[in-house]
Amino acid sequence: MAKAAIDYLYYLRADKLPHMWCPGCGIGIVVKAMIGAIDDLGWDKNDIAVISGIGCTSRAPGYLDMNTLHTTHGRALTFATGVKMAQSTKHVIVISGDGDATAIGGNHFIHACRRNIDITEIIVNNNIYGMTGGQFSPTTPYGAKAATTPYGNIDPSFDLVELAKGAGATYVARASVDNGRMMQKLLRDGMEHHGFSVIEVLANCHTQFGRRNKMSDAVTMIDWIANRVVAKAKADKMTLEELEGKVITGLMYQNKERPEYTDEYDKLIERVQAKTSAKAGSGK
Amino acid sequence: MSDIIRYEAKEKDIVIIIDRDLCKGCDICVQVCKQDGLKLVDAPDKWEGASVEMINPELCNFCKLCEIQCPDFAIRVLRKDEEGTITIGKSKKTSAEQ
Repeated sequence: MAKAAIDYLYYLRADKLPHMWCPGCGIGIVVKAMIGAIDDLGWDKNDIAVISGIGCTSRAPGYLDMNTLHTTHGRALTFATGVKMAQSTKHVIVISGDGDATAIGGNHFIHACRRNIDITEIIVNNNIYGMTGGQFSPTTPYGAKAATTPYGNIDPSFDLVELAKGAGATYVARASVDNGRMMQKLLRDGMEHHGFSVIEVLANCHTQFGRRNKMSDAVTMIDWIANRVVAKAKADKMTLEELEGKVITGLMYQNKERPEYTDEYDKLIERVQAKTSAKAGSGK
Repeated sequence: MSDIIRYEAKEKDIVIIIDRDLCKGCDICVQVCKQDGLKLVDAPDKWEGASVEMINPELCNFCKLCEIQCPDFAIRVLRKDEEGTITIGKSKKTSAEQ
């Protein structure tokens, strides 16, 4: 007997569907891969907290029938840190967009990486601020047009993988919406990883980014992503010239050695309590 | 009532379910289907103006790419077991219920 099919509706608030995302929006594929990953791990949906900030991506918790929080712009990780510190046995997942995570919430992002707290952050990178009208974000490619860069963007863009790695995240991966199966695997491994995991997902915003850059429908834009990405195993065999303009997907970095933040916090409590109780004992 | 179209590939025991209420006609599934089994049709009753339909369910080879890549949870590709039932999640549903 084959594995039972995933019951998507069990994890979704079915009465909220159809969702508000544009036809063909990659965020739907990410949410589906996320449900697939959770189903693979066999986690109870009542043990999961999904937290988001502001943006199109941040509407995802509204459709997920789990413990969800829709917070202020860029501050999803701060709320998530609070939830994790209070209930360290629960699984905390943050879903946020590129602008939410790395521009407005950039500071929270690097410090969550530094602490290595056991949170999974999914950054849906669609190269633009989709919900607010298509302003350029820190990941808009050089030369691309946006509502606020009508003559082309002159800002160099962030490499989120390098940023997360440099800041101290212990699981860093990159996936893309053109390959939902690979995304599901990377999300599952990231959720399973004990420590801060960052999974960047290259997604399409054909409405705001594509329309200004000659890719006005979902299929053209997903093709553009599919043509740009190279899997890690394949990229390892390619020369630097061949990799020019390509983006590598797959597991980029994992470190299982670094201590996790809530573990360290528990140890600290234990140590201090032992010390104070010893003191109180000797005082009598 | 939701508007569900149910296709069945009889020889392969595959059931394909398309939820027209959820489909937004984005064309992704049509493009990912290697068997050219799906097509986009006009849907004047929907504001998107298009919805997906299956040309021939017998073409399906159970790769499930359309299901995985559908952003709207509108397509399910399911397989019946020997008894003709489909298992979704933890509960067992008969093919008639789906």
